[in-house]
Amino acid sequence: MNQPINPIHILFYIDPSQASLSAAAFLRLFTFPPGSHCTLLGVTHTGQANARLTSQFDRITAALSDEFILHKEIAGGDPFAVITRYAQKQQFDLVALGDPPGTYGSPFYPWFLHSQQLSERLASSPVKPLLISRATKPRLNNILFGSSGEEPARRTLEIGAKLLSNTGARVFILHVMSQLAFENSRFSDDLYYNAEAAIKSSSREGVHLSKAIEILTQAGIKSQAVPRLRHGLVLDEMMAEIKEQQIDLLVIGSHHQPGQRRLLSLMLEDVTHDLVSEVQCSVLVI
Amino acid sequence: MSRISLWVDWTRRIFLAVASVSLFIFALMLVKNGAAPMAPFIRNKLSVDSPASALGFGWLGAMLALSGSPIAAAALSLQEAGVLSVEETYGMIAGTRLGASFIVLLIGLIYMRRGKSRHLSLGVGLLSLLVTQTTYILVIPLGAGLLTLFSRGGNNAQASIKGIEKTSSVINMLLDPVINIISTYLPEGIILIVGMVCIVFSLRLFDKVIPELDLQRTQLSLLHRLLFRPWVAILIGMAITTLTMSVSVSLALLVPLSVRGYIRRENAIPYVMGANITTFIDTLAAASLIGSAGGLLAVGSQMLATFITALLILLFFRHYERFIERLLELTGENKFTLGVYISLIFLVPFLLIWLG
Repeated sequence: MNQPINPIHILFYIDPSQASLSAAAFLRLFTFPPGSHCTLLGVTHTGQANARLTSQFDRITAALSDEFILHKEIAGGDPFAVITRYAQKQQFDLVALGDPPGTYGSPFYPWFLHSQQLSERLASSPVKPLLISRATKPRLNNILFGSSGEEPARRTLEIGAKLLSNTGARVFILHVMSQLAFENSRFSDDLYYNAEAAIKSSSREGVHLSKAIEILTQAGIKSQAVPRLRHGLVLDEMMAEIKEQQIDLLVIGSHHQPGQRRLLSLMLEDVTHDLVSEVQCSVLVI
Repeated sequence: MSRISLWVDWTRRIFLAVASVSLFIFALMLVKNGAAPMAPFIRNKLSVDSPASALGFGWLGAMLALSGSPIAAAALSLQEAGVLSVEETYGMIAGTRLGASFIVLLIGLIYMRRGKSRHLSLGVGLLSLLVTQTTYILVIPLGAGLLTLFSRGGNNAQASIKGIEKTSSVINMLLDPVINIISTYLPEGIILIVGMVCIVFSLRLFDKVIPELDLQRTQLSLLHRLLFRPWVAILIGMAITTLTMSVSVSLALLVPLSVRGYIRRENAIPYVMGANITTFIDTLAAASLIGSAGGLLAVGSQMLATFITALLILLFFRHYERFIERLLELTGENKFTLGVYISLIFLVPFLLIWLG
């Protein structure tokens, strides 16, 4: 995937549902550079457009024609395979789709009974950056960057910031500290710090948050990014933060990072997939 | 390390291993011989006459000994001596897991009183205890069911242990004369105590056999920073504890991997679950060495039940994680709830002994 400079080229997967229309309205909030292209991709069993898909194309064309130079494609087969094939064949700066309500959220039943939605499958694939729109009402007031504090987070911040630099939204950068001390003698105040205290004391998390703010600013985010540091289980704290700050868009790094060893990918928890499965807000996976 | 010093180091370790295992077997035989005449005292005066009361007895014993392994080993000797039935042995061994991590709570309390830490909930010790205790709600009945099932295996189970009994008969042949001499000079109660002390000493000696594991160069050094998949962390916990045979030692091995001495909660929970499975390796070995068919059944059932419970929890792992997190907050952050929790840890085993 290219790092977007300008203009950019988006692959927008369309289905006949309201989610695709909402996703189109959501895309308009991003304020992409003039001259950007958008390929509208519809997938049917036969590879031929049906009436519902055709009228959806018309509606979305009407919504996006003043923002993008539009192209239309119809393909046949499994949407996941088609999107992956298109993304591999051509360089897109962003792949976007809408997620219908009811296809995400935290189920009680075990993970193996949960059938994977298209967005979840794509989140675990190399198709990146991926924008999963879950906006029922188009709104982009608050953006949350989730950061692990590791080196790949830098890439996420840079690419995410470049895509979102013109939104004018309020930006938060969150790191969740779920660490516990092995021994009581190892208790340190950094286990209690909030973001401001961590930055002030230059703890490991504080240094990371300071650097993250610097990266976002240099990459084009105009509003002052607000650092946040929470303590607890990573997934739960991220979801709590999303609820507390009324986040419209969560920006997170992909589980599979360039250059990462396969063994490590197998051993590490796919936090991205977990978040995409559970959060109610839109998600941008870098 | 040069080749010569490597040879010297390994020779020392082999010598220590042989010495500690020999002492361990000797200690088990001492406990067995010392316990047999004390059966009326243990069963009547101490009221250890049912699986539930044996559970409480093992629980209290582990808390007093600050370790589960010596008490679990003693349970095998008691079973061999005819003091405990197989089911009671199972109960006593299960109890040792519930009381084994008490030491970390004790140390945590001391630090809290000294003002060196504000919240016990921020330590792995309390988490380890809670994970063990919550998993054992399922492990105990499941293991009891497996034990009943395997015991009904009857002749097949007995036949498969014939080889082990041959080894133990050789050991008996070697050690019986020594133990008989000791028995003539020392009363049974003293023999029992000496045996227990020797068990503790032999296990400490065996700890020195474990080679220094250079975990820094492995992916385990990431446990304090990144989130591992739960099944991976369980396997890691199982693997490390197969070598250390102790949950607390397994956790201690991870300390140097992190500059700040931290581990992520999401990794610690499954790691302890895995460690709880293979922590019985030493007890299993002890049962084999003394040829205790009943002991093997009891320990084997326990290990299998712990393993099955871990698999079941994996199906609902996120929910279990949240449950432990809430328990941790509830128990460790408030002095009142911590006090209630500690009281329960002491009260429950006594109740089990009294009512069991």
